[in-house]
Amino acid sequence: MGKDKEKDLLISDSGVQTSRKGLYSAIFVAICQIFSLILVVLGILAFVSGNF
Amino acid sequence: MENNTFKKRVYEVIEVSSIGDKSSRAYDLLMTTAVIVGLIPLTLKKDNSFTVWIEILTTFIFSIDYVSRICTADYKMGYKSFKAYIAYIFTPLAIFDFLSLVPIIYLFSPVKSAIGLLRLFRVFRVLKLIRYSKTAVVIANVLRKVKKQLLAVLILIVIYIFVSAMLIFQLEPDLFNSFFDAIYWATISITTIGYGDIYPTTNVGRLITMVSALMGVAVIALPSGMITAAYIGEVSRKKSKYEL
Repeated sequence: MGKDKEKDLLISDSGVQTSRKGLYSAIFVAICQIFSLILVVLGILAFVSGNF
Repeated sequence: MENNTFKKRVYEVIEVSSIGDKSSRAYDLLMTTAVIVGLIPLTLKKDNSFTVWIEILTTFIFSIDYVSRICTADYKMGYKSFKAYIAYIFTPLAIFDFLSLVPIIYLFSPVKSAIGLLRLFRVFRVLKLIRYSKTAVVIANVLRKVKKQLLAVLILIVIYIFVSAMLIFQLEPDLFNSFFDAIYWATISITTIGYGDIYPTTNVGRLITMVSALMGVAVIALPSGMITAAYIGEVSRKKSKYEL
C-alpha cells in the first residue's frame, strides 16, 4: 500500500503532485468486475428460468 | 499530447493484457464473460426478461468495444493514417465484432420473421474469444497458411456434390421433392454420415451411392491431413524459435 501511494506522487519543479491514474484504474477495474458479476448472475437466472 | 496518451492507454486496455496490467486483465475478463453469457439465450427455446437484459447489456459492452477498437485502429494497424481506420473495419475480427452487434435488431421484430433469425448471429460472438486464446491464434495462423489448398479441396468437394446430386436426381426423380434434397443426399453420402432418410432403390442409384461413399472417404480426409500437417509444422516452428 505504501509503495502504491509513492507511485502516485509526481515530483516537479513546481512541487509534489498526486497522480490520479491509480484511482482511475481502480475505478475502471471495479466497474468491469461489477458488470462481469451482473452478467454472470443474469446468465444463471436466464438459464434456470428457461430450463426449469 | 494528452489525447494521444489517453488513446494509447485505451488501446493497451482493449488489447490482450500484458503482465501486471490490471485494467486490461479486468477488461479481458469482462469481454470473455460477456461472450459466454451472451450465448446462453441460444440454449433456450424462448426468450425471457433475463435474456432481454443480457442482450441489451452485452450489446452495450460490445458496442463500446467496437467503437474503441475503431478509434485506436491506427495503433493496431501500425500506421497513422485515415486509411488505417478504414482498413481495420474490413479485417476479419472487426467484421466478426460488427456481426456480433447485429442480434440486437431482432428484439424489435417478431421472432418468427426473417429478422428474428438475426439472433443466430450471436454465435459470431464466440469468435471474439480468438483474441484472448493463444491456441486459437495458432490455429488461425495454420488455416491462413493452408487456405489456398483448402479452397481447392472445397471447390472439388462442391463440384462432386453437385455432379452426384444431378446424376441421382435424373436417375431416381421419385426419391426427391426438389434438387435441394438431392444435394442434401449427396452431402450426407460423400461425408459418409448416411442418415438413411433418403436412400436409392434402383441398382444404378446404389452404384452411384457406393462410388460416392468411396470417393468421400478420400476427399473428406484431405482437409484434415492438410490442417494436421500445417499444425505440426507451426508447433515445431514455435518450439525451435524458443529453443534458439
